[in-house]
Amino acid sequence: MTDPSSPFTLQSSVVGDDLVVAVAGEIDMTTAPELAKAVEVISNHTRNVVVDLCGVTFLDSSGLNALIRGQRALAKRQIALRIVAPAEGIVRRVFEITQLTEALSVVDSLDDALR
Amino acid sequence: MRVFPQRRRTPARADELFEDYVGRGAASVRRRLLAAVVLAIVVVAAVAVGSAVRQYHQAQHAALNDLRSRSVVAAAVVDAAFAGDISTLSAAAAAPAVVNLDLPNMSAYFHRLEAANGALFNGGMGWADRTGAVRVSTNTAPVSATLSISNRTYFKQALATGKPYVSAGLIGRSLAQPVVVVAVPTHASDGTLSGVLTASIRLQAVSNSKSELALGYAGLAIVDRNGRLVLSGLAPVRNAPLLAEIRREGAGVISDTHGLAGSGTNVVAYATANVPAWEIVIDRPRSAIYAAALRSLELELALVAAAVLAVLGMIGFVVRRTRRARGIQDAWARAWSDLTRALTAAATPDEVAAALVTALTGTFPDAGVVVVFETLEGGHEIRTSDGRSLRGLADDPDVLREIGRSAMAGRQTIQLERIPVLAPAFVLSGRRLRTLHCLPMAALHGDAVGGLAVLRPAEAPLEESEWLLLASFAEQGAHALERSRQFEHDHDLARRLQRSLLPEALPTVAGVELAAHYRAGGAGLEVGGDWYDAVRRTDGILHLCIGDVIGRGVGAATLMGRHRNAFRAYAYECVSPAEIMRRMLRHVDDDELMITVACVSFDPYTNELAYSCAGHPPPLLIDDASRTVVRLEHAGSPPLGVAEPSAIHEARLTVEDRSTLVLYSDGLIERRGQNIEHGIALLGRIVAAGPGKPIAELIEQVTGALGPETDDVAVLVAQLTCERVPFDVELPSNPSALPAVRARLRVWLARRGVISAEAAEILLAVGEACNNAVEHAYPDDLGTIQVHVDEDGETLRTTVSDRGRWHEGDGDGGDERGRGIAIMRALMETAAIERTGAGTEVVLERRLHRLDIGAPAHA
Repeated sequence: MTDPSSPFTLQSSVVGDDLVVAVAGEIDMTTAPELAKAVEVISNHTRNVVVDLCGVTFLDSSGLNALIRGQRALAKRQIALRIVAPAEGIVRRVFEITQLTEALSVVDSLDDALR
Repeated sequence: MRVFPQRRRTPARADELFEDYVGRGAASVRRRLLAAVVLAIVVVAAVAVGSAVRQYHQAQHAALNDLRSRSVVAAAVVDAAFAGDISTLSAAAAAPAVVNLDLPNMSAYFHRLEAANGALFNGGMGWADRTGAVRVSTNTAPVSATLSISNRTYFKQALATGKPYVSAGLIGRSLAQPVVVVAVPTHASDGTLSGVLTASIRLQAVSNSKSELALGYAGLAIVDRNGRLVLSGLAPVRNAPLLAEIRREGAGVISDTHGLAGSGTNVVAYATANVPAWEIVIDRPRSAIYAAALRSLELELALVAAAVLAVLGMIGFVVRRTRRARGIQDAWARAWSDLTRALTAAATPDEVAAALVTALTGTFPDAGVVVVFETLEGGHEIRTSDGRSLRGLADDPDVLREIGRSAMAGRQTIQLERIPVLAPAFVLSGRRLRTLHCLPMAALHGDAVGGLAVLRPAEAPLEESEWLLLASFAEQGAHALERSRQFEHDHDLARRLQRSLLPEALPTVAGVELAAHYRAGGAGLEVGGDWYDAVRRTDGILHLCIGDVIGRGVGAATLMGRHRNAFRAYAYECVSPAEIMRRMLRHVDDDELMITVACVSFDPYTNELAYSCAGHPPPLLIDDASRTVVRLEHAGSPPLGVAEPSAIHEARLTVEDRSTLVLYSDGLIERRGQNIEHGIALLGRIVAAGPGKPIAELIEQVTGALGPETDDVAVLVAQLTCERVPFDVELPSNPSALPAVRARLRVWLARRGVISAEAAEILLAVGEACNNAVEHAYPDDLGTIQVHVDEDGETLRTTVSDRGRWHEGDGDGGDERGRGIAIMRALMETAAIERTGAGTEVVLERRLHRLDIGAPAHA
């Protein structure tokens, strides 16, 4: 009876050579497959993909796994994946805990990612 | 919404109508018959009166004829008398003294005649010579030379005609009083006319003497040729026209005239006496003439009247007798119709017996009445009239039982004193009731289901009509007993059905104290369709429901059962109360009774409440602290059976930590003639005044204020005290269930004062534990996961357990699982995963750093 605090959404836009995928809501077992698919499919024509997690309120290991799978798939096509997660907050904590901050090129802001 | 109990068919009313109808018809026939009889009497009386009047007229006619005859006879008598006078005078005229004109001898002769026959010519006799000089007279001894009758008509006539002549009335010269003179001519011996012999008859005023009346000659009058009344001093006749008519006719009768005197209403009969040329008239008042006829008419009329009165009296007597008989019949008919009505309302065998006792007591006012009847269990019970009619007998069960046995045995009349086992009844009744009349009540299948016993003081047997009445009572009673037994059986069944359909026990829910009460409607004759139910879902959400099937009886109870089952089924399936109700709609047939339902769901971990009402009075939510009453009235729709699915919606609100939720059926707060708003407001006040009071007390207070309930009452009360309730949820091992659990846990944590940053970490750790269970415990099929979270103010402890078998994944899976575990371990101080054959249990613990006690209860 309690609604999820915020609905899961994906929004893609092209900024220069990069494709930016802005994610909002919760990324868990139910929404992670959607994220993974979006990263793999949408990125066909771009050089770099930026996944912006600024609007994400929840990210668990299944979300991480989706991002890792996406990164591997993109790497095979010479496409770099960068992830934006605010320095403070539970999402950044997840990357830090799993020590994936470096591996997944997690940056503080979208500006940093596009630089 | 008011529940209208279905009205029963009312045969009593129909019977009344029929009786009225027949009664009116019979009364009309009676009236017509009576009118015909009266008319006949009037006709007969009229004929009799007519005949009497005819006879009266005939009698009048006869009286007139009689009168005329009398006048004719009188005239004849007068004629005869004068003829006699004339022949006497003629004989005297032939006497020698007269012939010889020997005056002295003539005088002596006349005196002799007078002396011998003084009554004959009481006015005297005389002889006048041809010159009219009176030469001899018996009235004057010395005949005066001046006395002459030469100018008298009778003298002149007798002389001129040579024939006898009777004069008119005149005043005699010598007597100076009214006389009639008979004149006869005399002849000398040589045959020459010598003179006139006269004789006077004195006329005396005639008074109607007794003898004249007896002879019918009252009113006799004689009119001479000069129109003078001979018998009344020669007074002239005043009524000249009448006299002219009389003279013209000669003889006859005139029934309508003013008489000779010219005044009054008289009858005149007349005839002419030719000799003196007189009119003999009988002139009398009509009333005198018709008196006899009138008397006989009066007599006849009196007889007719007496006869009519006698006949009318007889009719009246008969009518009264009939009325009295009808009065008794009416009383019986009333008793019968009252009985029919009472029996229609009687629901139990005891009530049937009571109705029979009343009817019998009304019919036999001097009797004691005992009614015996078979109970539902097959035993026999007895009902009697009051102690006044039975005296000591009313208190002796043994004798009453004996009477009951006799009543069921067959139609019979028993003299109590003659039967040893019944003799005490006579004594116990104060030696008043002597005779026992018995009639069994036989059911359709023929066995006696009871009996009627009437104890009367008189030894006389009942009349056949009384037996017939008793038999009709017995027949009705037997039917009613059968019906009431069936009804009791049905009612019992319906009650049991209803009881079986209500929850035996309410679920135990931490932080929620549930109480419910069902009370059958005032009369308690039929079960209603009220129900309530409470379901605690495995995810901890509590669904409460109250409903009311509009209608009563077994049909309503089964329908209610169906809807309650539908509610239970959908309550486990759906979280939303509106969705539950929409799905309940699937179970409503078009032709079914309407159903009102209120569904409320409550999440004890978030204090969130959602509700939906379909035609039901609004549930009340009372804040125990502030005592504010909130009506849950913002999600209303028409009753099920009317509402479209789209019309059903729900509303949500967050309740205070200590609140009371009251669901009720309208039977609690609605009273005929009262505004339902009043009842709802009263209920709110009573709950707010004393939160947590026992529900029975609550109902008592409401009925105490509103009056006793007439409808079913169902009440479901939930005391909500959830501020310290641990988060305890079972969820399907389906990823889709996870976001909702996280959201609820987030609220729960906030209510516990856990700040949001810390809460986010806890949610992540618990989420990972759930992920593990979903991914590894039930990879192929659906199981359940238990999540239990609690804190004691310092430490938060979480247990996530499943009953699945741990499935080892391949390389990648291992990596991914490893990340989840890593996250748990990083975020929680303890993250123990214990795998057993029964399943896996993940225990996470963490010291709470920053409890935000002052924060609002929920974020």
